[in-house]
Amino acid sequence: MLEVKNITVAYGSDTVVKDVSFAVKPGEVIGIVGESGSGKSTVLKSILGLLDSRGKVLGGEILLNGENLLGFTSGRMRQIRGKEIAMVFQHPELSLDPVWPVGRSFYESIRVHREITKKEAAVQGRKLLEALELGEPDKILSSYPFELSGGMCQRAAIAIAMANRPGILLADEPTSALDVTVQKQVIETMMQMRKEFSASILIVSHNIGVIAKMADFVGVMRRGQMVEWGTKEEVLYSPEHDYTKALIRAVPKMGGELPAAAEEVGHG
Amino acid sequence: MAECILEVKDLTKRFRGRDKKGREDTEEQAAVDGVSFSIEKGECLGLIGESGSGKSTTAYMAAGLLKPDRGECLFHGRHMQMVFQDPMKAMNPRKKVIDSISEGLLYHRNGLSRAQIREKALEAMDMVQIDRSFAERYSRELSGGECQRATIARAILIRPELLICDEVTSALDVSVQAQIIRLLDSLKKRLRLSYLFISHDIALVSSICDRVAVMYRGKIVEIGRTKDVIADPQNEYTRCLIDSILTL
Amino acid sequence: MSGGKNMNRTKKRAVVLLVMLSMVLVPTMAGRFLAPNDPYQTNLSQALKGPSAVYPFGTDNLGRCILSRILEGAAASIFSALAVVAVVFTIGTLIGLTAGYAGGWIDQVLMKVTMVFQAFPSFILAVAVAGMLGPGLRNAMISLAVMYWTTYARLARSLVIQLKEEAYIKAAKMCGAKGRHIIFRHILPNMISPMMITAALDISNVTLSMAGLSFLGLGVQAPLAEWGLMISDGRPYLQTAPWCIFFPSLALFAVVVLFNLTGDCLRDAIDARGEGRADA
Repeated sequence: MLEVKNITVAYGSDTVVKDVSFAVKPGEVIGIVGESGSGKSTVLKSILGLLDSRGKVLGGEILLNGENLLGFTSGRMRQIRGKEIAMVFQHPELSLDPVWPVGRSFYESIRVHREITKKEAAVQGRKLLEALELGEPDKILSSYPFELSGGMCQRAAIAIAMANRPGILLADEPTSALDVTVQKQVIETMMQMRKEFSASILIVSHNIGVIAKMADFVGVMRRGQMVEWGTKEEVLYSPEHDYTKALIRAVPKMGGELPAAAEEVGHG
Repeated sequence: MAECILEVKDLTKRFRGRDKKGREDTEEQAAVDGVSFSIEKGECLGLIGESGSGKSTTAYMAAGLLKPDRGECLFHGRHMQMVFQDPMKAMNPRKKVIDSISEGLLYHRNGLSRAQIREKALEAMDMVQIDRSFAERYSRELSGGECQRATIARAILIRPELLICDEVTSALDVSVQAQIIRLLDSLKKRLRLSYLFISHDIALVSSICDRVAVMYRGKIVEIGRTKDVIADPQNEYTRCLIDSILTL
Repeated sequence: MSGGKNMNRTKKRAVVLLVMLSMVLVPTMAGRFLAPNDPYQTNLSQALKGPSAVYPFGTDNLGRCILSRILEGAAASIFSALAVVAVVFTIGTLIGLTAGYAGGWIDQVLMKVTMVFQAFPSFILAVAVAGMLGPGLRNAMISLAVMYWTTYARLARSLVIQLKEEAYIKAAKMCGAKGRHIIFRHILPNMISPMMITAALDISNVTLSMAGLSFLGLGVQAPLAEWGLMISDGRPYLQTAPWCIFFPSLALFAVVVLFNLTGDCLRDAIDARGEGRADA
């Protein structure tokens, strides 16, 4: 349903994404791993047309159900965002409006796409939060973002992203700002959401553990290129590319051995 | 029992906190509440905890950067040093790398000349495997990993017996993190260093630390040999923490 | 990288501005040697004459050469402003540094004093002080210093408080650095750029305030040449001899704009350097 074909993205004269292709099919979780500067976040931003003013997609296609998103007007893109494709960010406190209670954010994000009363929005919000098993829905809906913990904020942001039942959820490092125990809960919320709404998820993270936990298919990015792509088992448990191998060796494991530092990996 | 390099007894620090609505709390909250531990010579003690557990506050008190409200830290050595989380912020942006590294010997020179200090700083750069050509650069021209190596060079310049590492790899990429951890491990053997290694990453701690202490809400809830704690955690929070770990 | 391109543009702008600034400053420094006529030579038969070959900017009501008086007055207008900025920069930095670094009751006392000064509308305060001290260039400078030092004290204090928490200061303490080491090696060098930007942008403000005080009769006294005073003196002749007001105002305008642009340029240069980090 979402297909990224040979896209190349540049900021000014720096090409940050080179000829990257992959496809997201209904109900799948796609994980992209990479270190800082690998271009993984840029890929997500280009899908939603959220590149900053210096960024530009130089080539390739991004097809949503056969239509090229790159040819859409900004008005058309606004209809896509939230309705067809939603996004959650690394810092939930930045994606929720700090002066609105969560319920208001929820209402506003639905209202962009269709007529709805505040009451109906509240009912739907409660249902959604219940479906995601987020504890006391009414309390969450009436809370301001700063009254919630980071993890709860992120889970509320995920619920709001799902308000319009988009087919695809893009997640940019959704757990990186959170503690490990909270990270686990957020991952569970996302997986539950996939089960409830059979949405696809495209998640980008530097944390291989998160990707290993969530993804069906994994892409490994390095310096703007997709160096390896395949099922989770193929890529993470029998990697072929040297970079993937080195990256996986560098992940600290429980139980005593030092992570391997292949000189080949680092640009540091 | 082997000789201790650092003994921490009943360390307590309270901050006048704010509640979630931003009002100033009338009650002071204990960031660190009666923490005691000791580090043997040549040992690496890991201090694990999540944000707000008080692990960094403990580190600052152990380093003498923060005065405890109660309790004491007994250091049985000549020098201790600290390495910080964000290497870019731990280097003065207006100083050349070599000048930042030399800082350790700048204030008590022991009769060394400038040239001798410089030579020692260059040797420290060799030990942490950064090219001597970086000496005349500024920290902003270095990558995160190179910069962290430079701060480690500064820390080992005066040959401390204890190195306090506060989340030293959490601002770095995994592959760079692995290099830094290997470097710290080799320095430990070479310079017979002891470490107080603070981290939120239990897998990372398990790879480098001999013993580990788990902090939760200002208290140490479990302390023991790393292998024992991981294999058979006694505390419920420790279990929860270990369960949450995502590895391959 | 585009950052580098910006830097080059900033550099070019800086060069252009410095050239323009020196075109204004050098003649004014050498003012009395370049002046075509004696700025204090009155000649009633030549009063209020329009621009001519002998008097390029015309003459005032006492027949004095306006160009010569502008050149002569530059010293009072520009250099007194530079001196005032230098003084408030030093005093403000010292007070802010002390307050921010010491903290506690010292900070409380110094900041309360600063707030008292800031409680008055600033120019009114300067006028009041100048009025109490009596007219004259030196007193005008003192009153402007009283008006401007608070900005620097507060800026310096907030910078120090922010810098005090930096990890490299903690690292320095671990290396055994004492207070003076930390202040001179780490804090001062890192706070100087933002302070300089403020100072550069303030030069034009002080120049204007100085002209304002003279205009009100509280600054430089007749017959000494000063731009604000010349504008004030020219007021009755606005309709019959507009050059009496026009040329001193133009000089003031040019200098203010130039100093402002230079300040902006300095800020851009420093910001651009800050952004050029390797991890960006």
